[in-house]
Amino acid sequence: MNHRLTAILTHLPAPESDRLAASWQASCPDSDILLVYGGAPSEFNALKSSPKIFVNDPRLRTRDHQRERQSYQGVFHAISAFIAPSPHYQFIHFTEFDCVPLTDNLPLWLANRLESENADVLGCRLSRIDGTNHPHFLYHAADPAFLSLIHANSSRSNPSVVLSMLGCISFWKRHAFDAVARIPDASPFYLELVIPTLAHHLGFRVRNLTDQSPFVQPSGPLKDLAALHQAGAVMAHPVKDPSLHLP
Amino acid sequence: MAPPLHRAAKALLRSLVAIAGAKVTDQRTGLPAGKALFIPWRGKLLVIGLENARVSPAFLPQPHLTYWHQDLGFSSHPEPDFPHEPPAHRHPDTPPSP
Repeated sequence: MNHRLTAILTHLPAPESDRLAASWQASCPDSDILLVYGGAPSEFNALKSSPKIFVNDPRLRTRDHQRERQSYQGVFHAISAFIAPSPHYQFIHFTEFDCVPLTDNLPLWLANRLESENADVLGCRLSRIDGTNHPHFLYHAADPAFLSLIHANSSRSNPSVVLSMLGCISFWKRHAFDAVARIPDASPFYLELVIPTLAHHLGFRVRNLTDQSPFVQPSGPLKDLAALHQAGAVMAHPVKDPSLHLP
Repeated sequence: MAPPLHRAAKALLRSLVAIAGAKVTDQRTGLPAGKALFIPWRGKLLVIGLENARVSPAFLPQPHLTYWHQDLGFSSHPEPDFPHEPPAHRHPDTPPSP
């Protein structure tokens, strides 16, 4: 029984999403693959891959993601509900469809890294941003509800810490993932802030994949994956051309 | 999408920052943080530039007592490296090794 689950968030048409799941499964034989679908219901119904879950959360379907504060809380909650009857899953690898693996068995690589960092959560471009000119921090600092949420959930001696991390890939110990997924009040806030910040304030150790952050970028797209692999990348984001990573 | 006039104004300001902006040093690392224009505006300072720096402003310690001027500097936070806190450790589901 695999104890690592890779949850792939996709809105690609059904055939491409099916090929994506097959590609990940071939690359990660000892992890289970879950398609988390955020596209049209008709495409979800056409998916042949199993398992799959549909996320019907309007907070996921934003256009101006930063200003509308796109949320993955519905996504995390759906994944957490899916794995609730499966206590054997101990590690959750969350990835967007355009974050592609450049090494075999990426979840195992991430699990080993998690252990070596003695961490509960790994992510890319993690930084502390409270008090800084980071636009996302300033935008949320103007909303008293954000600070109230952090203070209400913080077990830390300094409840003012705010972290930022890209949302496209993260790797979690199960109990940390479930703990963050259980907080419904996180929904109105931007995922890149609220996910790492809540994890931190719930007492979990969040660490940066410093060496991978150059290859996991907020915008792109990246194309020369062979060169990235040669430079030490085990994953790349964003890769928008499906032919670069689909079989 | 911003109107064309706004986009043109932003592009002009960015060019101005690149040419005439003040160099800003990250006081924690000593590394360049970028260039910025500081413009007094309604009792505050407008900071234009520093788009790629994540820094917070603070008055800097001064080894000599002066009443007539102080230094305002900009510093980044170190990379997060916080330990676990007890609630995370107390959780009953202790995961196995990979």
